Amino acid sequence: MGTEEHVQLASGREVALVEVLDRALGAGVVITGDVTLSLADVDLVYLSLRLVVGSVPTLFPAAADAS
Amino acid sequence: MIYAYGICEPPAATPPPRLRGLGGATLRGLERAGLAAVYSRHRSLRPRPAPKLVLVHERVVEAIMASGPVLPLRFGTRLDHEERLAAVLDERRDELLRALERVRGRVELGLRVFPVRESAPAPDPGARTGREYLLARAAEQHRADEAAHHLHAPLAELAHASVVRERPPPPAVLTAAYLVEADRVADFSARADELGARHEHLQSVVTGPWPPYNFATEERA
Repeated sequence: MGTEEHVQLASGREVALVEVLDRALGAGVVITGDVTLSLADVDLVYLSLRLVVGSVPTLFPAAADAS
Repeated sequence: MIYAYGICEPPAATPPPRLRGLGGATLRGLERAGLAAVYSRHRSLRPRPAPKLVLVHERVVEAIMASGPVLPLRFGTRLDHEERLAAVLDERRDELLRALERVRGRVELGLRVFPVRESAPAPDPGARTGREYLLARAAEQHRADEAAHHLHAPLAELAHASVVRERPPPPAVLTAAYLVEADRVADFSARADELGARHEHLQSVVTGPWPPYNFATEERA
């Protein structure tokens, strides 16, 4: 399955990247109507990141085993 | 044309000399009656939300934060020229000064809560009957409520302010941001660990400290 690859690749750095993109693209002060992103651009970024985020729980196998 | 990164207090926090803006541009500061902004000049610029470019924006904002309170601007903020930026600082002066006070000495922390995989197969409308799909969705909603009650609520008590995102990107069942005193980050993190250990069917990740993107405007804070 394609997502297996992402499971292997998941790292704290990727989690951090998702957090940065979430903030810089979705929050922060807007001082002009000329923020140059179209919604389509942002959606593309999120789509490519969703798989990475999806693998985060595998970073914590100890917690999963405990349950 | 100019691209603006963040608003701070004068003197405009000097980013480290080796730090550059988008496209390697020199970082500049503009000061205006108690406010300052960090920006760079460009002949032409159409920043796309590529992770690499967003990280340049983020690094500049973090450099400003290292020397004082910062209000991060949304990625992609372009203005025609310096005068326009100065006008924005003038027009929104009171609001921006209040926001700088609100974030002073504080940082933003992020929380993402995920269901433990075994107990939470992702809803897959194609491979299930409608009833199974609805049940899976209901289970997901239940976990979101649990996360809000058992993780978010107690953590929010340690924060000056907090925001919960309306519809977290799957498979997260909850994402939230907290404005926390810089010297209470360790307390917050320890509390999150403690709560996480008590609710094993939910896995949470605390990230940060971040510049206060989610608390830089009044409606969100």
